[in-house]
Amino acid sequence: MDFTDLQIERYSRHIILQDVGVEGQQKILEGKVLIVGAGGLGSPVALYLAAAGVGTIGLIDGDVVDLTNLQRQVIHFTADVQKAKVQSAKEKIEKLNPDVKVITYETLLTTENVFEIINQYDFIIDGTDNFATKFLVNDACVLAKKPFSHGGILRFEGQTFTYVPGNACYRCIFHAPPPANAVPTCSQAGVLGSIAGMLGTIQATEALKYFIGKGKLLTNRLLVFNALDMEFRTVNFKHNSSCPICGEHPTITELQTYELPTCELKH
Amino acid sequence: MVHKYQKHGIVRGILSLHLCIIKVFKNNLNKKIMSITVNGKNQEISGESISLLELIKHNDVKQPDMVSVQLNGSFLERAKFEETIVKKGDEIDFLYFMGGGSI
Repeated sequence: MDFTDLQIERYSRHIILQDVGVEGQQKILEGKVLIVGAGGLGSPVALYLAAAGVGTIGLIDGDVVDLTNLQRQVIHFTADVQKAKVQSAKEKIEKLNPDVKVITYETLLTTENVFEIINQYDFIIDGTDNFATKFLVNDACVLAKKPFSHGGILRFEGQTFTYVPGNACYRCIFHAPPPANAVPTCSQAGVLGSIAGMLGTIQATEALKYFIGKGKLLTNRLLVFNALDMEFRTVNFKHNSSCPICGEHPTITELQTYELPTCELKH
Repeated sequence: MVHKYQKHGIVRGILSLHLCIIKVFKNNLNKKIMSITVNGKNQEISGESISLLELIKHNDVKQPDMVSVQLNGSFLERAKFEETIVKKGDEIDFLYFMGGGSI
């Protein structure tokens, strides 16, 4: 692949980085990432992957931009309120980097469409806002053998790990989703806006490392942080042999549809 | 003037008292305190063991019916929580669902 002069200039800080170089940048430019959710986590992921030159970025989100989003969903601006999130995000990505091809899906990810969509991508980012979809992303990626980055934030905390086929998955830690409305969401408990940036950027970094093939991914390790104390901790966890989907005797062999939580707070 | 046998009795009394005090002191010294690691940090628990459910209460775990527990590198089935005993040197991690969201 030949770089244009503009590309050499744009990506110079990657190219001179020993572990990236021209080969690494090429892999990034050929990379395809699907970002599920164009919200708190999806925003920094999309911005940093676009800046890095990821060749194809897919964005799936059925929501429109809301005023309450702007406290942390930094890819959306005041003028975007009421606009489809995927459209708002696409516009910013294209302005940031014309090398990036953006494919938008203005819909929810469901058991019906998930395989057809994820099979077109190399790496998936979980930036979803509910457990039903988090488990759907996990299950679909395990069954389709696609790597993905799991992420979740609340209040002042965040947690993330990276799934690579053959390693521990989300169900190895959490067997099944909690009952709908059992666990507080950001609209109920609140979240410090910049936490979304802290965690989303880690997810973007994992995707880039996956492409350049350097360093150690967060496989079999859950990174947990509490920004109040600014303490980071990694919890090692083994591939669970009794995991219902990736264990020795899987009980889940097809996708499950879980109840989505209901909105209690009208915004 | 204290009779010889009375003196003997007093001495024995004082000796018993001393032995008693020493015994109580030694018992306190031997009182078991065990060291475990919870969420990466050292915790001292009195006793030689503690049930997992007690440990969960002791750590003020929010939503104890939602928490995921890893003991010495392996995740525990929720059904086993009640019978699990934590001993000296054990490493426990409490992990919580974190989903974000605006719903």
